[in-house]
Amino acid sequence: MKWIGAVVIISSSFFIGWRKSKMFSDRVSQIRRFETALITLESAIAFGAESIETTIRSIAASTEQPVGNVFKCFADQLSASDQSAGQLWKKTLQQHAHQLALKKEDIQIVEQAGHKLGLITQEAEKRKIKHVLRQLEKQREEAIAAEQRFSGMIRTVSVLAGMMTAILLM
Amino acid sequence: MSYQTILPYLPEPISSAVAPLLNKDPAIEEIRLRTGKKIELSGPKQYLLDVYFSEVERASFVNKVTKHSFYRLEEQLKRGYVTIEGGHRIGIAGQAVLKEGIIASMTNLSFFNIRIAKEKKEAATPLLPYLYKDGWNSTLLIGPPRSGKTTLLRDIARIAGTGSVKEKIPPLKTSVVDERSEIAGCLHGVPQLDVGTRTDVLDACPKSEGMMMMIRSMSPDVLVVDEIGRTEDAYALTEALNAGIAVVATVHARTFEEAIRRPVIRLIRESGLFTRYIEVNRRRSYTILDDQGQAVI
Repeated sequence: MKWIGAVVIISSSFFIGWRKSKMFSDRVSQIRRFETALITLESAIAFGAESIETTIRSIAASTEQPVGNVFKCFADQLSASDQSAGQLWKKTLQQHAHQLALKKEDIQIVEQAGHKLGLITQEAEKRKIKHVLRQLEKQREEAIAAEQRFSGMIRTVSVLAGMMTAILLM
Repeated sequence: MSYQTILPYLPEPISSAVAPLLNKDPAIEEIRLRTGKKIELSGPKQYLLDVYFSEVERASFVNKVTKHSFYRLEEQLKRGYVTIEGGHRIGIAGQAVLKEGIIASMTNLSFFNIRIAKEKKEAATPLLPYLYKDGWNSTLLIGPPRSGKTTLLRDIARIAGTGSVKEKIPPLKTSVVDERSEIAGCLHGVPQLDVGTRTDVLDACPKSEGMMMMIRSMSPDVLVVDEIGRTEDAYALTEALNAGIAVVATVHARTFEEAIRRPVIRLIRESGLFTRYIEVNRRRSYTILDDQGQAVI
């Protein structure tokens, strides 16, 4: 019985550690997905043939979840609401923030991509997206460093903590 | 109903006030929206509705017209209008943004004039004896804004492309260069208005380049183009007319005399490229002129 309890404690702490460390790698991959999506948006704006809604729908279809879902929801709101694209982007990000592994400051940077979206000239749109991409690149580098520093450590510490708790209780 | 594609663009209170009037009076030609002012509908009769166009509605209307994508319409906005589904044209006024003295963009869009595109089939039928005789005459339609030049031009394109059994006109290869998407009212490249069965449409392309492209690629028998007047249009028109293509075009002017005051039109007239001139006025009556500008009827 004691052994079964020990196995449960160790596997639970391993699972918690795995979840925590996954947050680090998810943050990196989600920042990458937003970067790719914004590069696609920038290209579409530079080409000038498609509307933002059409572009966002194609981004949603080609982007993995949960980031793809953010774009899908944004496209749905664009077609249904009278509000500006910027307001809708902010609202969509706030609604989906809990599903993302992004930090508050990452969300704030992604939010900037929506500032005056669809209300300014082609050149201004391109400059704004480039600025957001530069900021996201910095965030991604910081996220990779954090992943390398803490991800493995958290997994090891959580297993060790689980083992220690099991030993103490036995 | 030609105005149906306009209604989704209008804010709900305005749309529900305007729809019954448009239904009741099909002669209404324009819906005018001015921020903070009452809605105006004009045509032969004028209507001032007791509904205001608010600032919030203005922002929403701009979002709908630009489809949240201002950058797509920059070129059109520089010219002061946007064409929507169905070929309806929205004239826009606001604040021009200048760069080195040239209009770079428009901002604070506040005044809108929605011109309802009307498809009047058979509008050109009474003119056919003067337009077609063993082949299409190269014709210049002269008229002021809102005189129905484009409606007439669209019907000429339709008859040229479809033919007319009654008038013994065969269907010919017809090319339409539709710079402002008003003639064919293209949506995603597909005409929403009837411009004929043997008709090819080059949508949203500058006229002079468009005419040359169509001459090279589509070998038309008839070339239809709206509102000529720029210097570069003359070269393309000369190319087309010397290649044996019949050109039907329009120009903004009240009379033939007024039209030939423009250097380009004068040049074209002197070269004798157009064999027919038709003055169109707002009362929808026509004056037919020969190649020298003398009234035939």
